[in-house]
Amino acid sequence: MNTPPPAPIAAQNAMRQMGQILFAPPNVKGWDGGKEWISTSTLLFRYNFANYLINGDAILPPNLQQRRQGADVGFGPAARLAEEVRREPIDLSQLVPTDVRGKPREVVDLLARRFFQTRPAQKEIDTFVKYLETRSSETSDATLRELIHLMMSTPQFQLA
Amino acid sequence: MKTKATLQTRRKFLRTSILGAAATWTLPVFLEKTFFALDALAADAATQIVTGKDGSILVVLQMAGGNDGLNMVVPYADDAYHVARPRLRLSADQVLKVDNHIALNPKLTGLKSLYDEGHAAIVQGVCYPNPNRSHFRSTEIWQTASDADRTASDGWLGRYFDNCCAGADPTVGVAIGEETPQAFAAKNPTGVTFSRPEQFRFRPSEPGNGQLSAEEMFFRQLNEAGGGEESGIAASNAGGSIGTISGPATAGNNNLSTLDFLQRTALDAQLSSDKILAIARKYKSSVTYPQGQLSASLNIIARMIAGGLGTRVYYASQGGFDTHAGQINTHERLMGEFNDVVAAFVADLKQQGNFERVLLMTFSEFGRRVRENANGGTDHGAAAPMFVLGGAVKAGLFGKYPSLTDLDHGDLKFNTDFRSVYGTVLDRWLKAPSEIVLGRKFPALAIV
Repeated sequence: MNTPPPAPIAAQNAMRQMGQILFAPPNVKGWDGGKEWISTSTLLFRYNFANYLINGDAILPPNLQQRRQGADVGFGPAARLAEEVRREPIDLSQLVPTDVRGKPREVVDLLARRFFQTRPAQKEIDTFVKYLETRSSETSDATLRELIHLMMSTPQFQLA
Repeated sequence: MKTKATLQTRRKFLRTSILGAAATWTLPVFLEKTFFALDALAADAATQIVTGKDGSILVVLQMAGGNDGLNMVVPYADDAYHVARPRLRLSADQVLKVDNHIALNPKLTGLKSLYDEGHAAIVQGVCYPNPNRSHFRSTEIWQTASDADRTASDGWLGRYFDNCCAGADPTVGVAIGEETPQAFAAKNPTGVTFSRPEQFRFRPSEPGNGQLSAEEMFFRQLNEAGGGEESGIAASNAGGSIGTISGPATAGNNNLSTLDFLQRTALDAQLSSDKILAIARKYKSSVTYPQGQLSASLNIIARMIAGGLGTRVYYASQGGFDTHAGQINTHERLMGEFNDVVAAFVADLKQQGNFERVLLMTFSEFGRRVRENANGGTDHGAAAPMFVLGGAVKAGLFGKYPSLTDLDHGDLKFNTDFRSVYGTVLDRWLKAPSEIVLGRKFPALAIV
């Protein structure tokens, strides 16, 4: 993604919520592969964690940001936590050059190649294109980040 | 809405176990495969499907950290208790007497009323052979219901879901908290986990202003049954080429390709999320709950029960029981919180008319040692009591209060295996075969 990895504490918390606690595998064999890691809860969590990776800490619950602002009124540890999970939205200037931005199908093709190991079915591709088309024509960074989050929030992406 | 119709068809299908060609020709491939798999399964398994308005409900309440059983259910008439705990002891004039030997912690007034009303069972001296004093390991033993000398990766409730609830909605198990308890771990993970209902949803990049954003609408399209029949077929082909993930061969998932499985999970996630959010918005409690995390958890559970969510097992936890130092105030506060929250929860259920349907069971990974330590606290012990309460529960004392003088390295000796309690709850409350879930049959208790 051409982007720094998430803060250790965020990554650790994410793995915990997805059931993979670092240094504490479920049994002596370590972690099994496969379906045991996917449930409705972990899938939704993966989608929402993708949101954080793409859009940064701005999407975190507002109280976390408020706590950061309240740093000088005694919320020491919470403020430090808020600081630790700080993350900028991903930079799209390299990922999607300006000359393709007006062409939804090309943008989707470009990003689909980048993010999916197996090309999604045409139906999904068309849905992504339609999404871009319904958004404003200039295809802002914010819209592209939404699109990438959408791509990552599909069953197909979980196979990537 | 299309997805609603799909679910109804699936439900109806499961109830009647008829594979109607007319009902399935419009279904995406992955759903169709699910149906076939489930149909085969339904023939030889007691699949538990509840509509949400009937059926028994189990609420598991974990007291994490090792609750001091001796100061929860107090052997106030035993001199050895007062000798072993010069600073922490609760005197005969403070405690809520159950009989002329044991009493409840003074904070447990609500529990005492429930006991007197005939709705609370106290199971005494509960543990397992060769007790382990590590929080991590002992919690694992309680969560997986394994013997102390072997490890299991699946939880006892996970095995219940796997064996007895195949085809049920994921909301058959609901855990309130940040992490899914190991008790829910299963070959085919089911059950949902959230601390606040609002968390259990897809969060769009732009926080919504009350209505669905474009992103959310497209998200729904992408996650509802793979977007339609046509893509269902394309998708299942794509999945076949990747199908190297070795799914465990149980329940209904083994005939599904990985992508089929993911699509089904995605649809389930969306439906469960919609249902939970709808109930959370619609149902509020008229009973006043106290402040705090445990209270919020049981309040959500009560609202989900009121809303008729088809859940068989809810899971909540209260932390902070690891009282190595300065126990007296901490434990008093925890007992007070536990009591007040359970009292509010029970009042809520009674008002809903659901108290008869609900059984709440408490557990902690271990009790504390008999003798208090030099820091005004207690260290990790072994046997401890459990509470089981509910409208249909038979009140009384079960098991035996362990001797305070005949000890095992300073710890109470257990006389009731915790799996006797689990087994009784499975057999008599959830109507599920306990020997399949627990691996063998444990002596039943007359608590229900």
